Amino acid sequence: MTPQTSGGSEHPDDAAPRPWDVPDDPAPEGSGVGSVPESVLDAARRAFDAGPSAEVADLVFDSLLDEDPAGLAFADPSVRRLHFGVDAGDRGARVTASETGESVRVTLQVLPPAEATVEVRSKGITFLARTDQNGIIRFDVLPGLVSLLITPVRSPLPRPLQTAWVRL
Amino acid sequence: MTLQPAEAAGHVAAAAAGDRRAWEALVTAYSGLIWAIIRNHRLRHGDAADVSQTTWLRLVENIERLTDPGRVGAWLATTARRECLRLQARTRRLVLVDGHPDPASDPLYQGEPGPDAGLLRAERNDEVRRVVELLPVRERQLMGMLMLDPAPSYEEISAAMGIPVGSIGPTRRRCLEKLKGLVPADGMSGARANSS
Repeated sequence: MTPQTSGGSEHPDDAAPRPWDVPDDPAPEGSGVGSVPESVLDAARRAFDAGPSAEVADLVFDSLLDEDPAGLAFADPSVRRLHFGVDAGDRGARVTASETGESVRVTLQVLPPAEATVEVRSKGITFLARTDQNGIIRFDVLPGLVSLLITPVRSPLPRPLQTAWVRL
Repeated sequence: MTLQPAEAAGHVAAAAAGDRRAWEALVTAYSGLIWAIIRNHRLRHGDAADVSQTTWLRLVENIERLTDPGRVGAWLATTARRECLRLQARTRRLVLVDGHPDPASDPLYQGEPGPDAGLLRAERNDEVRRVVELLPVRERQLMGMLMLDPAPSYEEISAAMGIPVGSIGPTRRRCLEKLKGLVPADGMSGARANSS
């Protein structure tokens, strides 16, 4: 399986920050509200511009915190497993994430399995990717906030999904 | 109180309708509470900013779906606390997988200012801060929450610290009694020991 990514746009350091950009190393204290660093306050105000552009698939399982309903005790503990879903229906995404040096290797499985385009919004870069016919793709991101905008390719009425923001 | 429930609900509804000023009012009201929760969990600075932003991004994506918009402060506190626990679990796992970080330099081990130091720095009176720092850690954290400006409601503190609302008042009274015993016999120089 080869990652099929395209349209990557790195976010230059001097460009206007995006809603999900956060200061790398905010000062430990600030003069803002309740000693919140001003850069953190700015980021919070900017979050308003990240209003969802599609139905949100909430984070319903995270192996870091949740007991695995399937009881996968044999699962590799170094691999984080996440499940995003919507209230009704079986639409959603399964994600595994594992640290590889300075980046995070992500494997996405679109649910139900179907080919889809994926806009990956992550720290420092936003790029488009296309899954295989089974709705699977692998890619790397830097540790940071991530959300995936998933649009089925072949559905006659594509209903895009956006995964809840999560820190990988 | 930060915001009365009706006021909070009004800001949530307006922000959901696209009113940026309403969103900024929510940020002003609750960012201090969120930051205090993060500081209490002793996250590294970069992780702390990520948790804060994750919390606000979660509100953006849920703002039209909140079941009780008047309690948005407690919702934010619960979300922030859970994200802190997630980051702590991730860090613990990395430690297990990658070996131990250097205890001499890793903020998880030491070197970070205590959470209350950050909260209390906003307080004008260093002597009050020194005395509060003599309290046990959870009591220090509670007093830090109570000293925030704007002050969170008991419900928000409950969500922030994972303690029952009913325990906050008695714990606060107990802390104040302890603090009275910790104040030097000659009192505080020029201090206004606010016991309200």
